[in-house]
Amino acid sequence: MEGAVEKKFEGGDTQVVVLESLPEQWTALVGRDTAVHIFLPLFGGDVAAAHNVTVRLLEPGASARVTGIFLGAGSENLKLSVDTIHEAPHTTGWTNVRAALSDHSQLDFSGMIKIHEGAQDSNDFLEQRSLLLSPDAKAVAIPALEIEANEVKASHAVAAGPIDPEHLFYLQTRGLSEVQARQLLIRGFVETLLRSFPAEAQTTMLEKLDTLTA
Amino acid sequence: MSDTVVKKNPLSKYEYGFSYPDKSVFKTAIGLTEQTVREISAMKKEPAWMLEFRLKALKVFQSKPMPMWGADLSRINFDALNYYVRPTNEQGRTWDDVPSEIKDTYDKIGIPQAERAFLAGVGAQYDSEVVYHSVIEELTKQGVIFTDMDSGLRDYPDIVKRYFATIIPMTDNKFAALNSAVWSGGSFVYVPKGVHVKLPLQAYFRINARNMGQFERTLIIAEEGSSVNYVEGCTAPVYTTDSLHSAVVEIVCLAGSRVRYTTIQNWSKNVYNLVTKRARVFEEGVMEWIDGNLGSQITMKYPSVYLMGAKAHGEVLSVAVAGEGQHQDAGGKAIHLAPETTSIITSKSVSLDGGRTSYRGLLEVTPNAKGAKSTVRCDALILDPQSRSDTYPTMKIRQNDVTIGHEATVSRVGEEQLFYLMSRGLSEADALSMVVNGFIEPIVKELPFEYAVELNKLIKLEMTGSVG
Repeated sequence: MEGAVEKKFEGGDTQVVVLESLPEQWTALVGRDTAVHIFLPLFGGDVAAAHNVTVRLLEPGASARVTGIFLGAGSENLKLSVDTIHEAPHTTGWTNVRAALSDHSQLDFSGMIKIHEGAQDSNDFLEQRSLLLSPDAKAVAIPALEIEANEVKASHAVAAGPIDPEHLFYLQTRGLSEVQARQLLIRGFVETLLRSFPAEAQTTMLEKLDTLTA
Repeated sequence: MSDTVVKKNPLSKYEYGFSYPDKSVFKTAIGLTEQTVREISAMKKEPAWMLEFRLKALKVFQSKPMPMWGADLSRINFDALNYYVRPTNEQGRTWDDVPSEIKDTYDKIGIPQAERAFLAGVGAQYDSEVVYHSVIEELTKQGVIFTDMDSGLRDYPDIVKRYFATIIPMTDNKFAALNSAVWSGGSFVYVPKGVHVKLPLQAYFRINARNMGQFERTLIIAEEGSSVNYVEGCTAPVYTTDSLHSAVVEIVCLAGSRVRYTTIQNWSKNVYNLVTKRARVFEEGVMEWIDGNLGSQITMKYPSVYLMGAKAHGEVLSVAVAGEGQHQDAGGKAIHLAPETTSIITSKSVSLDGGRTSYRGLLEVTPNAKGAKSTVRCDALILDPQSRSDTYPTMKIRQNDVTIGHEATVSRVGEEQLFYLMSRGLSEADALSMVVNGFIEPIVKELPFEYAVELNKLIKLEMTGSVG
């Protein structure tokens, strides 16, 4: 898919979207009392592919969850930004993107939470974690908050690091080899989020995860 | 209006908004040209290399565009400013030597008493020049140098030439170039190997003249295994026209040394405060920036630590309060260039009465920084619907053996918190100010006692009338 895509979500129920291939710009317009769950199985390219996902919460009661997983291998390179814009009161956002980066892969992530003036009682949380599996992997994270209302809760958390040596040690004391322990920890890190994906969307990611931990 | 009347805006809550008539002995013409730079340098009887440096920096300043990010700087008129105002021809060694109006200013701010009570050395800058300087004798005997930058250049040319502009080159940014071209005053601190300066050294910066640009330049060198605590405060009169304060502060923290740099910035709300502060920290050195921003119209300031040597540690504690008409764009940067370096950045900001606070920061881990650890934490409080808070942290991680965490929250004062305190008999205003004081406590507790009291008082003053 190329260019810009805009999609409306209305009618007050919960809608699920899986974006297997992401256009450069994908925008969700979310209406009154409507919830949208957006799943992003993410793939990079040799040249940094740049994608933006924008969620505009336009009316009271609108909510959105954005879940993304990137398993970077080889020289895969991904530039992703996720912006959630609260344009009405009583809106809720939640974004969680996890990346396991091996070889020379790289993730450039930026995530904005914007709460407009008057969008009181809004709530948003953004989280981005990167597991760095190789010394040549690179993670750049630019989370941002722009808050113009006071009766709100908005926060973000970002973390990047290797597999925790203590976790590795613990599993080894329970009889696993170092390789097995690593595989288990990478799987645990990714699958926590992956299990929330619709079943058919899990397949491709699980295949890639298998090659990554083989 | 008589000449001796102290002008104070009765409507202002700002305590230091008074001014004295401008009795400066020399001023450059309004605006900035090569001639201005030459005049400043000639006035100071500087060596040729410094004049050359200034002229080169002026070209850099003129060629660099205004920054397109951060706060709105479009209202700064560089042609309307006075770049050098010499308040007096002599620098005092005792307060009796200082001209009476200048001394009165510092009396009102409380500097001489503070010096008697708890300081090891004091420097006071009035407009472009340092008008007073003293250091306790014991320190001089130990070889500690604490003087103004102009005297430093004159009396210790070798040290100055070795370090000047090596931490922040003139080409770093537009305002560092401007400072490099027209700098005047600031502190020069040199602490010899193994010497611990136990009491704080204090510098006090005051702008008195109208449409003034103050460009102090500070250089602190802590030799191996030494330690020093430097404190600066800033105030200015309330004028209807804008002033510009653009400082450059360079710190060299050599192996095993420890430097703490504390700022309580309380400029009046007509001052643009655009400052570049950076420290290089070598093996096992420790650098701490404690940065309090309460005053000014616009502040853009991101104290940085470059962790150059193994196990170096850097810390930035930043507190910002933005009230009506203010934008505090503050933060911190940590750049890890060596193994096992650690850094902590903590930012607390409060916006009220339509004010805006922005946290802007950078955390960078280079491939060489194996085993680096860093934590960044930013919390913001918004007290009313007119105010705004932004968080723009950036993280660049190019090494996998690191532990990096970042968290940011933006919230209001909890109704339960207020209700609980009010049920214990506090008024709403007292309860609110108690919650806000508790919020900034992690930073206030690092301040010298007198400053902690002062900061709490200022925040309370700032918040008066913000409830109901």
